[in-house]
Amino acid sequence: MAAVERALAAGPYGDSSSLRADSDAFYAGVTDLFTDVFDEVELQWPWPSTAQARILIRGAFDRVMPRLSADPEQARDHVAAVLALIAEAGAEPQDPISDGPTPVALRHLRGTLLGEAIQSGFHATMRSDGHAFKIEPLVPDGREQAAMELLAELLPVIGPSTMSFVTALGVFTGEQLTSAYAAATPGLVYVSESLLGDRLETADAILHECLHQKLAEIELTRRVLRTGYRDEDAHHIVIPWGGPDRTFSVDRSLGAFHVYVHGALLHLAAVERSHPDLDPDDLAARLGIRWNRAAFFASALATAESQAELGPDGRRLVSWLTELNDQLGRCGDLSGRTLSSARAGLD
Amino acid sequence: MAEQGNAGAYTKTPGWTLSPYHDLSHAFVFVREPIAVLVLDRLTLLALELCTGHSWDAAVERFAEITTRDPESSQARSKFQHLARQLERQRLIAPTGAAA
Repeated sequence: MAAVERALAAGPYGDSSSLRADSDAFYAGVTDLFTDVFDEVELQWPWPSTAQARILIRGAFDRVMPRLSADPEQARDHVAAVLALIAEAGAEPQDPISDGPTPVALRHLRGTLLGEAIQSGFHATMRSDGHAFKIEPLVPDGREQAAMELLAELLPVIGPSTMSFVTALGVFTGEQLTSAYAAATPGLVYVSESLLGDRLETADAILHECLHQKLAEIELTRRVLRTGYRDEDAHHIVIPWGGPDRTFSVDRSLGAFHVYVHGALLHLAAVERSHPDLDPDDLAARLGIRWNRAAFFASALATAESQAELGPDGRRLVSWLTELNDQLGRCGDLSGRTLSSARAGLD
Repeated sequence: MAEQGNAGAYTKTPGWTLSPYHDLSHAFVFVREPIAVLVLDRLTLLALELCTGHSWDAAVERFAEITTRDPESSQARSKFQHLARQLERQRLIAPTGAAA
C-alpha cells in the first residue's frame, strides 16, 4: 500500500511539485502577458496573498484563456473587472493564504464583496452543470482542521501533496450537497458542515475535491483529452449506481476514476491503522465501494469508445491508475480477503 | 557541413517569451501580438534553437543527427523543414536571408 501511495505522488501525473511548478509558470507568464498587452490590467506575479483574491484571479484567467485569441477584448475586460472588484474590496477582511501544505479554512466568505463573488461563481458553475445546489458559507469551527490532520496522518505522502494544490477550504450549509469543487472558483474546495462529524468522511471529501484541482493542473500541461473534445458530444459511460439513467462523460469518468483510486487508498490506510473513530463494518463497506467503483472505471475507460476520447496522456493516465488500482486490489480488506476477490457492491 | 558564419537561418522575432515545463518536455510561449499562448513540444523547441543559431544546412544536419543519429536522414530533414515553417507561420521566427 505504501508503494502505491508513493507511486501516486510521483511521475508526470503524480508529482505535485512538478505540476505546481508548471502551473506557476503558466499563470506567471499569463500575468506578464496581460499586463504588457492591456493597459487596463495591473497585476504582478505572485498574486496578492489572500485566498479570496487568488481564487478570483485564477478563476478569471481560467474563464478567458480558452477564447483569448478569439476575443482578447472580452478577456481583457473580464480580468480587469475582477481586479477592480479586488481593489474595491480593499480593506475588507480576507483570509491570508496558508504558508503550509494545507488549505486555509475561509472565515470571510459571508458579507464581503469577494465572498459574494466567490459564491456567485460557485452557483454559476453549478447552474452550467445543470444543478440547482445552493450553499450558505459558515465560519469554520476547527473540525475541518481535524479532518485535514487525519488525511495527512493516514496518507502522509499523498495527503499533504494533494492538499497543496488548493488555496482554501470553505465550510457551507446546503441541501443535497456534501462537498464540491467549482471550475469558476479554482483553488477552493467546499465541504458541508453536515460531514464534519465524521472525520474520515470529511478527509475523504477533502481529498476528493483537492484531486479535482490536481487533475486540472495535469490537464493544463498534458494532452489528457483528444483535440476538440467536448463534453456535450463525447462518449458517455452508464453509471450503475446513484440512480437510473445516470451517465458520465469520459472527462468526468476519468476524474471519478482518479478520485476513487485515491479514496480506496485512504480507506485501506484507515483499515491498516484500525482507526478508533471508525466502525469496522462501515469502513469495510466504504472501502469496498471505492475500490469497486475504481475498478468499474478502469474497465469502462479501457473500451475503444472511451479511449477514442482521450489524448495520449489520458490513455497513459488510465493505464497508470488501472495498474495502481490492481495493486490495491491485491491488498486485504477487514475480512482478510483481497479487495479484488471480496466482490463488494458499487452502491 | 560548414557553418555559414555566425548568422542563423532564422532570427527569433521580438514580442514573445518562453517558459519551459519543469521536465523540459514542452514550453509555454506567451505571444504579445496577436495575444496568444502556445505550447511547443521538445522537437519544436530543438528546431527553434537550431534554426536560429545555425545556418540552414548546419541546422538540418544537426537536427537529423540528434533525432535519428543519421545526419542524412531524409525523414528527419523533412520534419525539420516542417517545424521551421510552422514556427515561421506562428511568427516566432523570421528568415534572416541566410536560409537555404
